[in-house]
Amino acid sequence: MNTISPHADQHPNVRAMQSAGDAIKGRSLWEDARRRLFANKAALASMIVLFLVLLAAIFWPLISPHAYNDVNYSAYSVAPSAEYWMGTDVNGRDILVRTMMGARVSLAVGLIATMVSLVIGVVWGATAGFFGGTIDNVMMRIVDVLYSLPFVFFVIILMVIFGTSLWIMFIAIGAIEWLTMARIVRGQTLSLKEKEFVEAARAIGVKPLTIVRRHIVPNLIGPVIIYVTLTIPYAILAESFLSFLGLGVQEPLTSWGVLIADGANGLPAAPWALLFPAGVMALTLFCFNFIGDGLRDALDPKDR
Amino acid sequence: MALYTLKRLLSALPTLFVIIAVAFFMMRLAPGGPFTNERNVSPAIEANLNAKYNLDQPLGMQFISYLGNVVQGDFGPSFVNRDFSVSELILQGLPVSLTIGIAALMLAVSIGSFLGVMAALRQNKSTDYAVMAVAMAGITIPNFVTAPVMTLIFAIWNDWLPTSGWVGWGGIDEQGLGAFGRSLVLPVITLALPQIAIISRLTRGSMIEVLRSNFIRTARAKGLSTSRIVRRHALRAAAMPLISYLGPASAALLTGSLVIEKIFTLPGIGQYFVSGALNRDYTLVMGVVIVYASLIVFLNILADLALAALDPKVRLT
Repeated sequence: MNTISPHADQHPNVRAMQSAGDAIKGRSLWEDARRRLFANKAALASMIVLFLVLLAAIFWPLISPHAYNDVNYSAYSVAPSAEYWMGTDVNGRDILVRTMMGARVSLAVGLIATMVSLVIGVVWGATAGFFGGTIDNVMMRIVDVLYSLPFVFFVIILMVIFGTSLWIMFIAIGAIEWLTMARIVRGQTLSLKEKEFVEAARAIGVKPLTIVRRHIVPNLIGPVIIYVTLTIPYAILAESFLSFLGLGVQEPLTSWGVLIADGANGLPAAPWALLFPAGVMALTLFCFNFIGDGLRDALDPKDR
Repeated sequence: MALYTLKRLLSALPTLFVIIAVAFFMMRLAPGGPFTNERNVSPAIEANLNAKYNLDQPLGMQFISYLGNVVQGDFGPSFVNRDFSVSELILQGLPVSLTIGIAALMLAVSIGSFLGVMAALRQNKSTDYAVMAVAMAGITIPNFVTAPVMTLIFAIWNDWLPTSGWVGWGGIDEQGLGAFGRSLVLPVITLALPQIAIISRLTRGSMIEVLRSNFIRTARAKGLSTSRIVRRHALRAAAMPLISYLGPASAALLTGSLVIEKIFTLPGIGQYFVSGALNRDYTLVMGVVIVYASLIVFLNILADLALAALDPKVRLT
């Protein structure tokens, strides 16, 4: 009599099937996405460039022969040379090390402000989307109203009131950028909630919290990551915008916005003091945008 | 339509109220009053100053009287520019800001939509890639980079355009129309660049979608020429997303004008706003924020109304 073995996983055929399964396994969503991302040349190049900028920002100020706030009046407005690779500004400060110091500050503001917006946006959006109904209506109505406010002006008021500290800037910029994040997360949660696989999970008795953890959150990560990569350049831009106007990072600390403002002020004498920081900033922003686009292509299964 | 217009206008009131309230109470959150930083002010004088500017009344009363004044167009005296009221300063700056703002908007819409249509008609060809690359650059590079760099190229290395300064409508008689125009070129172009980029992307996207639709195929089948199809049929449909973008576009132009007015030393309200923020001139900053916010809200309504009038798919509720 042909009985089904209670230890089906030990049946030779099953084992063979399993090992075959092992061989073709490893095409999870993430692995697939990574493969596609690395196949995207613009995104790959951007990741390499961004990594190099990050390394330079971290280590160059440590090993540079010049300090970023070293004022050298015997070498002001020096053109790029062997001594000063990017030249010096009108105060005789080395542009290269200042650009890298600026990169530290600008990238830190970009990352931290984005994290602030991520936390607020995901919590707000997921709550609204998951509960739906009146809660959703009220919460998203608030987002709509905030959207119509000229937020940059309120950030400027904040900076005027509380002084121009870095922390205020993190929070203020994060507070502008969370709105879009909340909308994206809410939309995703709403549609995911109604998906068949969630219904199936519910039908076989999976607890709501487990559904959120196992099914909703992993599917949210894709769009959130894409939007995070696209938010970082906006946060950097917002910081530079404020610093350019003199309302952000203050001397002697520097950032790309401060350097560009300084470079623009010292213009006829030292164009390199404008062009190098502006170039590095533009390059970084391009990289973030290309990576964001690459991630969008890699993570969107509909686009396969 | 009239009812819808009225409804939209009324719905703007709460938004404006929130803006004024937030601006007012945020300013009052500021540590210290506007006169605490001044040296040698005896308590009696400070009390007098506070009484003069109504700062000795309860906060709620201050807000109500401020609100009443704002409705009448009175934003109070400027704390820093003592001889001027905020309304005077804003009225001085508004023509400058509006001139460059409107010129930049017209430039952005005309060039942006032209580039977008060109890219859509030659989709996935070199024209398309070139336009999209330029658009990417325009979106990525902010105008506080493009403005000084273009000044360097066109005004310092080549003496084609003035580096800064404002001729203004009043200066046309004195310095000629040429000087007026030349003084506008760099500010308007650098202000418009990011919007040109965004509008060209937007137009390309909606144009490609429209060109695939059935009524365009019908027009083609009828034997119409491409230029006629684009002008008479496709553009009209493809312009809808563009119209709804005009509200956000003008908001972005206002924000950009802060930078542009600073770089080119134009005496617009953006300039007053930034100097007011740096000098903690609370009344001036609030006045400008309220004017900006009202402009943005009003322009958004205008864009909505235009969309409702032009797009049969929009239902008025």
